[in-house]
Amino acid sequence: MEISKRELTTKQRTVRIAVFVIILLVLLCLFDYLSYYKPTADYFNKITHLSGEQFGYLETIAPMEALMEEDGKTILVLGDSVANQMLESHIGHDGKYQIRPTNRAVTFVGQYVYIKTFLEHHPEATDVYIMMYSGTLASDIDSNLAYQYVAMPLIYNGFEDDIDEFVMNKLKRSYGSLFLKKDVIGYINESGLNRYLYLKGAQKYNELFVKHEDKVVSDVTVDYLKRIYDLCESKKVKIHLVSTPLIDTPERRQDCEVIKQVFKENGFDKMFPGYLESFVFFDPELFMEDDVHFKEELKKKAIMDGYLHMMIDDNESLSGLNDLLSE
Amino acid sequence: MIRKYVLIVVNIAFYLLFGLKGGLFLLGVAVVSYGISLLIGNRELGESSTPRSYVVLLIGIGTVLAQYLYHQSGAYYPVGFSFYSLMAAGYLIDVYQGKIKPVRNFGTFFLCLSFFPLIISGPIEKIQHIQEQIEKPLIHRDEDKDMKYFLMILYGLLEKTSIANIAELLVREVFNNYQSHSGPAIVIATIVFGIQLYADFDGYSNIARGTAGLLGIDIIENFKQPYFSTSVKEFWRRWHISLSTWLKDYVYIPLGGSRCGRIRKNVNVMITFLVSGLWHGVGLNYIIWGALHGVYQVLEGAVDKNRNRTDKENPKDKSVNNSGVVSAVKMLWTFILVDFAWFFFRAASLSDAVGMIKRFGSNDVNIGLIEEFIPSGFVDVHFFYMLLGIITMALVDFLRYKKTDLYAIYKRPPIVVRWAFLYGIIFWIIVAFLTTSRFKMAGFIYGNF
Repeated sequence: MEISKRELTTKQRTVRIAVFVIILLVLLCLFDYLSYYKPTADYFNKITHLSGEQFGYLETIAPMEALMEEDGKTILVLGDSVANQMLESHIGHDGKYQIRPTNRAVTFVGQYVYIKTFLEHHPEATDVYIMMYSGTLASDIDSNLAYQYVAMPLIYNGFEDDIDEFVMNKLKRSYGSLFLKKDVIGYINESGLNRYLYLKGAQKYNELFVKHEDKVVSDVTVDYLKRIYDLCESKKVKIHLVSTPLIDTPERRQDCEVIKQVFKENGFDKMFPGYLESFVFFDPELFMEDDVHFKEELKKKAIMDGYLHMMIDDNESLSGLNDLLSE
Repeated sequence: MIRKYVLIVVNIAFYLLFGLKGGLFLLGVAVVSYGISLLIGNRELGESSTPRSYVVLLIGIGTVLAQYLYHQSGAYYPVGFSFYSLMAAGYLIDVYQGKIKPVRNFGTFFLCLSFFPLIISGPIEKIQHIQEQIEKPLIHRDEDKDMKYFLMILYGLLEKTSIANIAELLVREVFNNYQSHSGPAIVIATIVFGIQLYADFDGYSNIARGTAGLLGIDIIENFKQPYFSTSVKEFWRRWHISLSTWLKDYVYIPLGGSRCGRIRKNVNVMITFLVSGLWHGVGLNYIIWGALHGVYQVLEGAVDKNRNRTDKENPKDKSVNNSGVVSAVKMLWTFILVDFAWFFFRAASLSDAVGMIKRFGSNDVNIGLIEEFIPSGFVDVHFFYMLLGIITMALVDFLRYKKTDLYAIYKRPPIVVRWAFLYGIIFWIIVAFLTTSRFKMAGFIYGNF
């Protein structure tokens, strides 16, 4: 009898623990849902100190909205964060130029969507410039940034068709196809808690299970440079790919040699003839610790315009930017 | 028996999370100490070869010194090495002194040395204490005991997430960038650090104790409301008890303890605290911290001696000295002394500590005190959770100090209320954790020692 009593007690305890855990799970789900549900989401962001800003909106989608304005501009200037440093003072008062540099995280997939959007809304367009430091060519579907800057904003805002199969497969490998569905992205994107939980999980998963190749020119870049070239060709628009000034280090020079080789192998030296000639190496003293960006104290219009002048004088394909400096 | 092997596997898996190299290091320490224990343990207890104090000191101080020199060399330093090597050294001394017989089964010995709840930050348990419990079959589980352990884990997590993690934002901002902070900000950060360190270490100890308890192993209590101490001497009976006990057993007493005159006793106290400083890290600031505690105790000893004499002459003064107000003042004074020593403990180096002291009186920062903490990312919600956490911790410690049975209070209301309380705590932990999730947070502070 005593044994059966003890067994019953153990059983009761097990049931009790199970009920406790089930209620906890239900409460956790409710907590998660309330962090997404509009009237309570802001309150949840406040008490958890999680960001209410939707990922990729400012970086990827806001520039897109500017490109959709039918304002008669004829020259599009895109670029990464180094280009942003150089062109920042011209944004907003740029005449025939539409200047929208972003950052390397949007990858060439994002740049392609920008160009496509601009050309759709600007039939008079004549030129597209992409200014990138050599390291941006390495930008790939990585575990840290691609979901926020590529997958989330593009799929959520209806640009899914512009992500080709090759890149979509890469995204699926890194993030899981369920999390690339528009509704699921919405559920993640509109809750600071979900964004935190999902991206932390995805990052850990990628660290453990997904092998990312560290190439000087990523497969995604190769894939989308071709698409960008074809798109501009079809619209009879001139495309110019140019490098921003680079830090003069043996590593950077070595990377540029690899880039030259990859460009030759893929015929990019013919498609973007100006790029390989646009490598200019500057004194390392001018750069931040990341060896990429100019030091903060150099971020003055006169200095940056001076560098732009130098680039334009050295590279014929940049001559179309001359008017920018005289405006 | 199954529990033993499961635990060995869990220990290995847990430790390998920190890398294979660390695992091999741990195995090396286990093999060496196991081998030595068998060699020295073969003599009969009470044999003519009585244990020599210098051998005990050689193992005790030698272990700490070896750790210090190894740490200073800059070579790879495995997670928890400072803790499990002290456990191994203490075990060897106990075997040498004939207090215990060596553990014959290597599996059991390895399990005790590498017991995963203790491996990162202690407590520095006695191998034999774990061994006794491992070898005892776990037949019946006590529901109340398990619930206490579960509550212990929750409380530890609360201390870590709602106090220690949040306080870290404020403390590291000031200690890492002290040049741009005013004297009052440095003072606040020093006070907060005293609270942070306690919440962090006591939090870890509670999690470790709770986890071990749920696995059927009862481990020692590492903290007993240390900030309610009325003297530094008492503080060390309540703070990091396992280390204090280790130092007392394997350094202070073999040095002669308090049995060889006042001067020698004071020297022994100083040596013990300097060894404690060396154990904590390679910087001179740790030695200063240890020396300060040594000096505090020497001075306290002198004052106590004088007071005892006065008390004998005038017994009325004795009752005044023990009143509530006097005790509260003594607690505050002890906290100030201890916290001043923590200041050296937290400073990145001795030169930083000196630099900060020079800024104590300064007020050349042209922004408000609250604004000084903004770069740290510390915002109003952090303040709210931290304050709530500190009030809770102070209340819990006060009730424990007054010997209140907190579990009996918990058990009093109906189950619905108890569960609501548990869910409330769990969500508090989750939410507090999330508020610091965007910042890069280090693990437990004592995991670095």
